[in-house]
Amino acid sequence: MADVAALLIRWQDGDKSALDEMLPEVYDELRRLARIYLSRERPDHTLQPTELVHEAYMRLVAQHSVDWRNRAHFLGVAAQVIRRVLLHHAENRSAQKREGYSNRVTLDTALACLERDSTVDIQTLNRALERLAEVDARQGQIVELRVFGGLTVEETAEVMKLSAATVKRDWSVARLWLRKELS
Amino acid sequence: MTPPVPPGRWERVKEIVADALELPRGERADFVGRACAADVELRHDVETLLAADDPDTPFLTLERIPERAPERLGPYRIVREIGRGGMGTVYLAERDDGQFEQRVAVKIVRAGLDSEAVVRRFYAERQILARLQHPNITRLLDGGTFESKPYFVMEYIEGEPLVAYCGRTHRTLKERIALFLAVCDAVEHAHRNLILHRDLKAGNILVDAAGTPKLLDFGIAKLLEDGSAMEQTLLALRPMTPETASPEQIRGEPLTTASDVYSLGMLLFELLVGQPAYRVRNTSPAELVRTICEAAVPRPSVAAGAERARQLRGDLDNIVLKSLEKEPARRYQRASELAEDLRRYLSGLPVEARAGGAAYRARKFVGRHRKSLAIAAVVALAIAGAAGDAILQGRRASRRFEELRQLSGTFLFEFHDAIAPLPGATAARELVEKRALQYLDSLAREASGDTDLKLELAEGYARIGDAQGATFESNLGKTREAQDSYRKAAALFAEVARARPRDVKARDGLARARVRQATTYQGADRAMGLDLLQKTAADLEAAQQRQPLDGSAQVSLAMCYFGSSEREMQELKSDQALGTRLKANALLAAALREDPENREAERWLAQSLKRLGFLYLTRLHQPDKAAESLQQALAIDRKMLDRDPGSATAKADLALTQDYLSAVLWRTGDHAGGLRMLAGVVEARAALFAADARNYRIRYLLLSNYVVLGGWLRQEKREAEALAAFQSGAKVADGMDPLAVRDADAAALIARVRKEAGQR
Repeated sequence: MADVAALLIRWQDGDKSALDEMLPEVYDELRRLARIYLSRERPDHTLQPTELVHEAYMRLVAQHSVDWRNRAHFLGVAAQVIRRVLLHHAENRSAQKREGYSNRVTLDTALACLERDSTVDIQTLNRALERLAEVDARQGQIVELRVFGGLTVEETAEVMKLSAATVKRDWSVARLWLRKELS
Repeated sequence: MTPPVPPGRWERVKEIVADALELPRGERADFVGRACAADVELRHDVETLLAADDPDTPFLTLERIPERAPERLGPYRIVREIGRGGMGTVYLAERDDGQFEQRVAVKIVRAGLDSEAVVRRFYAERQILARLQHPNITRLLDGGTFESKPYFVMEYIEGEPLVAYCGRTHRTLKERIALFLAVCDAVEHAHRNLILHRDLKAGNILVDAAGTPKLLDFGIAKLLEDGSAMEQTLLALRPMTPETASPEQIRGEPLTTASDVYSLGMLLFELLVGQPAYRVRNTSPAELVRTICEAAVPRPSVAAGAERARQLRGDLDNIVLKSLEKEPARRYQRASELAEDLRRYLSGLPVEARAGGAAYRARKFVGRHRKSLAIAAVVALAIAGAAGDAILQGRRASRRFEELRQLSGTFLFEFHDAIAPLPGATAARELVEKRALQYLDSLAREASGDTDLKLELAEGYARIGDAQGATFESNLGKTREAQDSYRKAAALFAEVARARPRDVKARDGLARARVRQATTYQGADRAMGLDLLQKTAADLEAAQQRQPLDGSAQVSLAMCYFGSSEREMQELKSDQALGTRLKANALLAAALREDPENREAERWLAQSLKRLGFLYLTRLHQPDKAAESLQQALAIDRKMLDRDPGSATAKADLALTQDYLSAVLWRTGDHAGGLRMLAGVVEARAALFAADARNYRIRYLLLSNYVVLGGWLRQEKREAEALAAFQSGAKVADGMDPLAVRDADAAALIARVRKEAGQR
């Protein structure tokens, strides 16, 4: 198993390949956790990214590292993973409709509630978010962390090394921008 | 598509919009007019963005509860925030109800952090503080919940960290040791209460105005006797303070009282020398591990300035170094041993600690041995405390023995079985369970050669297991205890089956005990459960080759398949799970055809059909097939309920089917129908729960219903009703002690419902 704590440090130090090595590991852990949540006697699931991401952090990083600055970086990675998974889920679902294929990937299923609760379509949101990132990369990342990673303003500030006030201002403007874009 | 925004322009737009958003709506237009002046295009961009601000339609509202300081908690008025830890915020508060004036510290779980793990930890800390009554430990004064978040009230120590205090007041060496001895006493008190502090450091010890050192922050302390594997894992993941963490803590190994001794040693070093033994800031984790686990600790006399060196050389050096041995077994095993040696030093007596060498190595074995003896003593004490019941000391006077046997073999279980289906029986069953277990354990010690007695005992343990935590039955939620009981039952049945190979009863009993044992395995142990099920099924299938199985054995085999299918479902092998599930159903249906009066086959067929529906719905995404299975289950449920209209079991069975059906309706777009059916389920389960508050399974299912109901209602924009559902759920969860809940899923539900109920 790749050591996520060590990879985070390499990534912090500017080694871009560390991120690619980390993603499958983080994805697997998120999926494993989702499976635990799904395996119970309950037909509906109320899993939130926040719970998943924090739990995954505890297991993958906190256990192996005494350097808790890693937490911020990990949360950032996890938000990216969740965004990709949700997108993948949405794409698969359209494919499913065409091919009658039944998709059974747990993390997707677990997070489907996020999609159901959300007032916008994930794919549309993702496209708009990509455009936002072109206009303002910082805002794009803030939205990714907050929406897909379930991070608070304070946590987002920690990840991005910004002040909470800046994150808050950027977030409120980014929300308006996306809303206008999607209307 | 929006036209591309020219560079530099966007920064301006962003600034103005962000500023405008911070103003009340009415003032924004004026502000924008002023800020944009004559720049028409800028103004246009700003106004277009601001026009999108519509508070009435939610958009990306993923905000969690904003941090809000309570104004008061009970009789305490919050003054200000004084600290923020990993999981809680600490406030200074004053008691101002006119009774008396008192300043206190209030620790409350941070909003957004009230996850299962954190809430659990929080309760653990509260519980730990409640156990400790010591002049050198902060006292727990009170506790409660605020907006569903737990908080507790502690003594407020207006003081200064120990090391800083000693420096500022120029304490002499002897005075420093005296203060340190008080800390040792506090730690020893915790150890005696089976608590490890695990984060002893200079910053966690404050000296108050009276000059008394006080130990605080039991935030990552651990109860030594807490056997819950999950709790251990979670605790193992807690951050620690690198400067004072022991090698075993850094390596993630089990901690003992000697680990706290190590941290005390670090503290003593700092007190005597005036600076910590290591500086570990800005080091990489790998380096940190190397330093703590391998690097030699400097001798205090060498690390300290020349004027102190003479005082420290010799005994004090040795005492500190003995506390800081890398290998726990070489250290003082308890805080009291360290304190004792220091007292000997103060009195001029020879100390235990010696410089490392040949003499030391000869004593090494004894040191190790002493440690295991200490552990054995703790265990023995715990057992003696828990098992004070005279019955356990009952000797084998034969009449008494027969009485016991009769009582445990017949009366208790007849009683148990008679009350099991009654609503409200769980409390009585719990009592029966406790008594019966005591009887059985005392009898089991006598049973060595007596096969009949073993059979009786095995049946007894199996029934107890059912009461403690049978999956799919009303139970006490004691999964782990149930697992133990089933294991004991299986072992005894196996012995009987070996002695009497043709005894169908023993074989059958063995199969059932194993099936039930297998279904109690959780988490990482699930694979073990699956192995057990497959082994049992193989045994029964082999027996079937020799002669057809009777109805009861058929049900046993079907239950093996039932359990295997559950496991496969958890492993995400949905197709395999479907195959196994269909095998179980076919076998149960056949048993029922052979004997339409086989109630057990009938009920398990209904249960298995429900799980088939669940599988179709949630894994295979075939709601039509799910509905079909569930309708079949519903027909059986209704028949059973008609036959026995008062049975709580029958009512609970029916509710489960309707629970799943409501999800089918919702997912197929019939939201109104789904909501209606779920409301019916909630009503039925609430009645069952009201009659039987100790029934863990009903409580858990009811709680999950409220969470789902709240979520659905929210999606339907029926906010008020959603909130009411979450609040009802919070009430159900209210008496649930997250510490006592060993099920991660249930703990997450509790945390979530509390959050939702307090949110709006």
